[in-house]
Amino acid sequence: MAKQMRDDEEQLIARSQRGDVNAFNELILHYQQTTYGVVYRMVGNADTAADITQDAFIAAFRAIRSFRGGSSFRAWLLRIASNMACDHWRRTQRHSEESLDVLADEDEPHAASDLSSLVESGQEANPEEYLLSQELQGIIQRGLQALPLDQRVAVVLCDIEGLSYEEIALTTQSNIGTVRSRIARGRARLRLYLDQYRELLPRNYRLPTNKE
Amino acid sequence: MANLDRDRHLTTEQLSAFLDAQLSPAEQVEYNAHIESCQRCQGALASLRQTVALLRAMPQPAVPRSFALPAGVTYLQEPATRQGEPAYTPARRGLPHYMQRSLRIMSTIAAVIGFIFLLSGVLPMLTHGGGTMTTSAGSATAPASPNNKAMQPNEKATNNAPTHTPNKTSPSAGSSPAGTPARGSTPAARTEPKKTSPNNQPPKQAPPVPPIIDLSIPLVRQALGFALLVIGIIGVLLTRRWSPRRM
Repeated sequence: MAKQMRDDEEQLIARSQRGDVNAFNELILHYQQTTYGVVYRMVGNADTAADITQDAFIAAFRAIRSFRGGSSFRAWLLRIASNMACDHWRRTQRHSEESLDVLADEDEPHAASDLSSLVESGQEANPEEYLLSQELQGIIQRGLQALPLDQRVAVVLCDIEGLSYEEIALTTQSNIGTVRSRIARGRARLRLYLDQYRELLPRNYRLPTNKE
Repeated sequence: MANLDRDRHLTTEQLSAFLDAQLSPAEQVEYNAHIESCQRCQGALASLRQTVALLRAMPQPAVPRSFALPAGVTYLQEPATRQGEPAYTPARRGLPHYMQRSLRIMSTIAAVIGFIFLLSGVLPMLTHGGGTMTTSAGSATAPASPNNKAMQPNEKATNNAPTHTPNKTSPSAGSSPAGTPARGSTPAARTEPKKTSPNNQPPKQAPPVPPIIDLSIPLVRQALGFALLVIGIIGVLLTRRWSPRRM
């Protein structure tokens, strides 16, 4: 089954390399959710993410002849997309102090009555399946955007898209050790960021955190 | 991060890798044993795990539209590159960039030092006229300049320098014991070019030798300076030719 898919993909790639747009569009249909998801989590804006994703697919089609068969097409595609997202981020350069501003501005404690509504109840038995409120999603998204780009890419690919360390290394053109360290630093930073909003988090998230 | 407690507590990176089972089996067992016995690491691991759980719980954003490329448009496809790298900068030929740069910097430094040497060798012979700088530069690059005549004796003196005083040919001429006798011979060396030098430059009182150079004989300094300057200029020219697009 999986092998069948891979064979199909290789055929589609080969046809795309000969200039077949329709074949490439099948690849797009297969990967647009992942690609858009990565870009969206990196830039945090739907319109911008859509533009970057479109540009990334055009760039990928133009450059597809340099894709070597046998390696991960997804990693290759995500490399183009995440690089373009990083470029865009650096260009627009949301003032890097934003994260600090957010910390300062929203320091006042939220009303206790809000808290229970932020997380849908009944999911605490399985911590992997939180239903996050819109507000909490927004906080996590802002936390992601407060990460340095290399850590952000690594964390998004690992914890949101579920890529393996090996595939992340391929995507970011780094080695496993670097990936490991970026993921760890990104998570630690995010943990610190989310610590500001401890009251908003699901109850079993609130654990004694040791400051490092 | 937790470097202080490296011995007793796991670092965030270790905990993070533990969480993803990215450790060797031996490490996994070892860390697991530590975590079970260490409350602090348990807490750190739990909060890290919850952070990851929150990230995993983030919903996939809905794709706003299809990103399929319109079939009617023709897209120029780039030829395959060896690196499998889209739109990468073309490989640089010749020396690596950093080597070229350091070579150029070193050549420049050599040229500047050579120029200073040359100047310090020339200065005692000439007056402090405004033309001093340009003449010595002219002697290095060798285009015919109006002041070149004034330089002729100096160059001659440069060439003769090793033959005049045998002890000067040794590379370690700057050593201190040679200092005082050399100082004595300086006027002699200075009078020599004066024989052929233009008459409009009266030999003034000996200006103090710049303290930068240990070599107290002007002729040696001239020779050394000239050589350094030539080497430096050649180096700069070569490195420049290799990289037409600079930086």
